[in-house]
Amino acid sequence: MPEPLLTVRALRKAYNGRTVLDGVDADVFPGEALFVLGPSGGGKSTFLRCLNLLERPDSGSIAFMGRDILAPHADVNALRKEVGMVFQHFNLFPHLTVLRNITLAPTLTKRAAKREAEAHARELLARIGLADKADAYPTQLSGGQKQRIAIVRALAMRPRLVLFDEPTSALDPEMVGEVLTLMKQLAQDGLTMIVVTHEIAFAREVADRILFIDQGRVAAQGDPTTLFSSPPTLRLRDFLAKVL
Amino acid sequence: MGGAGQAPRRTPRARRAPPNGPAGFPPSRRTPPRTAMIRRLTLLLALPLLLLGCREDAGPDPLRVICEATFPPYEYRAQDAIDGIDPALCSIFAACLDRPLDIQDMAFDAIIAAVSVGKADIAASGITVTQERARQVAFSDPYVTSAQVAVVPTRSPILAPADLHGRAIAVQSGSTGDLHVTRVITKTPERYKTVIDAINAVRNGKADAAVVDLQPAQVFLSKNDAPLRLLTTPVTVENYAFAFPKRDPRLRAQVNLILAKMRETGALDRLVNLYLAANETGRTDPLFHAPAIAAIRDALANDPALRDALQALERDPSLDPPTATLATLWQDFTHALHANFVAENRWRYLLDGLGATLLITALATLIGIAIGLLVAIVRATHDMTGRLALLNLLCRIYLTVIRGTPVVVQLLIIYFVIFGSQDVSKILVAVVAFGLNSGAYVAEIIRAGIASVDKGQNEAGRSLGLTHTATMACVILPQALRNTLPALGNEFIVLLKETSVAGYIALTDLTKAGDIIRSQTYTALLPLLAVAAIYLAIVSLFAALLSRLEKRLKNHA
Repeated sequence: MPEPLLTVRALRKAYNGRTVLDGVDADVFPGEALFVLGPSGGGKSTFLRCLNLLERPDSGSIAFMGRDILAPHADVNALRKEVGMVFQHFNLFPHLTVLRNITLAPTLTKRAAKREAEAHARELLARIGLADKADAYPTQLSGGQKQRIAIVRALAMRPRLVLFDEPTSALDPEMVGEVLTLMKQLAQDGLTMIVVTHEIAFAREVADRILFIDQGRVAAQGDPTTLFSSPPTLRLRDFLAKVL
Repeated sequence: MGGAGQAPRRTPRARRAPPNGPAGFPPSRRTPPRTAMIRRLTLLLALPLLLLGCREDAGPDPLRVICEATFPPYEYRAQDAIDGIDPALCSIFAACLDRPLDIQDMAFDAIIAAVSVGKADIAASGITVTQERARQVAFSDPYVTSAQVAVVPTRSPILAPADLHGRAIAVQSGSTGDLHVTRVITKTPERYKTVIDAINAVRNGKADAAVVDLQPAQVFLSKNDAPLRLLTTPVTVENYAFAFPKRDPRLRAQVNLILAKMRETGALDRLVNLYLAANETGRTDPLFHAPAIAAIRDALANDPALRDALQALERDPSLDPPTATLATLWQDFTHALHANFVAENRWRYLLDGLGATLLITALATLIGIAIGLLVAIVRATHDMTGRLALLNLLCRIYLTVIRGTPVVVQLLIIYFVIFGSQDVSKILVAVVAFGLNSGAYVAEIIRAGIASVDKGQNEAGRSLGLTHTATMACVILPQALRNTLPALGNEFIVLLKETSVAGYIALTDLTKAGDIIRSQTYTALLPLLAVAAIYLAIVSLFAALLSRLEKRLKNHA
């Protein structure tokens, strides 16, 4: 068994006295595509946002590559350079061109020199077939194009782990396919990813492992084939019956 | 000028005739003032109504008097009332004419213009007779002869009026001292609102000398233990008289009659000396001299011969207001244009004032944006991360103080208190004051702009490993500034107009330039219209540029 890239233990988080995460444990191994499923409001997104500290957990521990990232003086920015994130609403920078959106972080964090970063960005754009959009502004793009560029923006930092927070929920149905195709490709290329999604069929096809989070806890986990063919809990069976 | 009131005791006896010809007899002129023409036009329209006789029911009209009440012994405030030589004389006129008295306080540089358009019946404010003023108003016979003197520091090298050339000279804006100094000594005296401010400027080292009226200067020096002295030779000698609207020759004739009677009986000298003594001994409470004044007043009001003569004047048809024709109206207008903008190159005041206004606005805008950006970033950082608590507190104090006090007060505090003892350029003081003021408003505009940027933008920046500062500088602020561009442009427009109070520190900006012209030509309308038109033109131009810039940015987004 290889060392896990990320180890989460007993993670708890409450907003205004309402418990959202009630002791979540999880391990993520290098090269793995971990999909997080569960009913709305069950704590999936909060779990994901805790992993790069966009939310600060109340208690528990998170270790990334063996380092405790909740330690008082842990370098949050160093962690985030290694852990990319893709948002439901893309969050591209509207005042910058596509190319600048992609190269902003690598150049500002001294990850790469300007020319190197631009070359890398163009290469990534070519791979997703959007090389001609390098000088366009985000408002000139379709939703699917925006999300694919947001994914490329995260990849430009050469992260060890990418967090996807419902990446297709804000897209028109005809745009969903192109984004899922790209994600599937990335999973096959061995990118470590944690995906929060409602695309059950896609999870079944691509996931190496599935985490079913309900009411702030991990209610079930396992490989998709086993989990989908014989759901171990009643809640999961109900959930799958509703969404499939 | 025989029969003019007794000059005060310490006046040097240099009684040469004032430079403007025979005192009390304004040089003859054909062109009535520009402003009077409007009066006449309305009068023309109202004439049929007047003929129908609708004045009958009301009691006698009050005698409306205006003065600037910081000019002892002529007029000053004592026990919450306006007292002094001029108010006392006016109370006598009112009593003799059986009219109630209504005295109003008004800035000196607005008095002549106000009486010339009929906003008052008499301007009684220690007004020196000059040719320029006589074009706008009709003067009574002079009632006192006084002098403009120079107040200098005790150890000043200035020993005679001739030494004033090349020095920084403080004057009261629109006073005869101002006119004389501007014409003879320097084009750019420091123009203060009151004689007291002008003398204080010398006391604080902001000017080398103040050229002001003799009696107020004496009163100031006797009341304040300041290291100042008067030059023994007056800068110029002059006559004081009352001013009337040109179209009211009747009241002027009546006042002259009463003054003549008072000279004849010695009442005028008695009255003037009462007030000089009161002010030099500090016994200015009206109670001390009220009985004596009342005795003089009652004697005159009950004099049957005087009453008959005043009644005769009341009925004299030759004293009816004159009427106007279109030709004279047009002539009035062109003469006023010439007097206000062409004569003595007065347009240069507007040009120089505009330059100062634009310079102050531009530099203050830069300072305002720098301060505003800094304060907004501190405040937004505190809101987002909870850090910088102390700086945030300081910023909040700054915002509260600046937004809670008038900009004029801030300007005066910075000029007289913060830069009080240093000799710094007034432009610099204004730039600092308006910059500090604008910064507070810009800060809140930018903070609102930062709040208007979607939260996801900050999260996206931070999730990529950017620091808070880098995210702020490269992601949030560019969007915030674009969102706030219209509000920032509006702030510039507000600031441009707010600099119009720079005149309070004797700085000649555009508004003050209009004031100076007004105080020299005594016409209110044209200089004000010109100043307003220039502000409007600049604001319109800027608003047009701003909307083009906004459109260009919108195409980008």
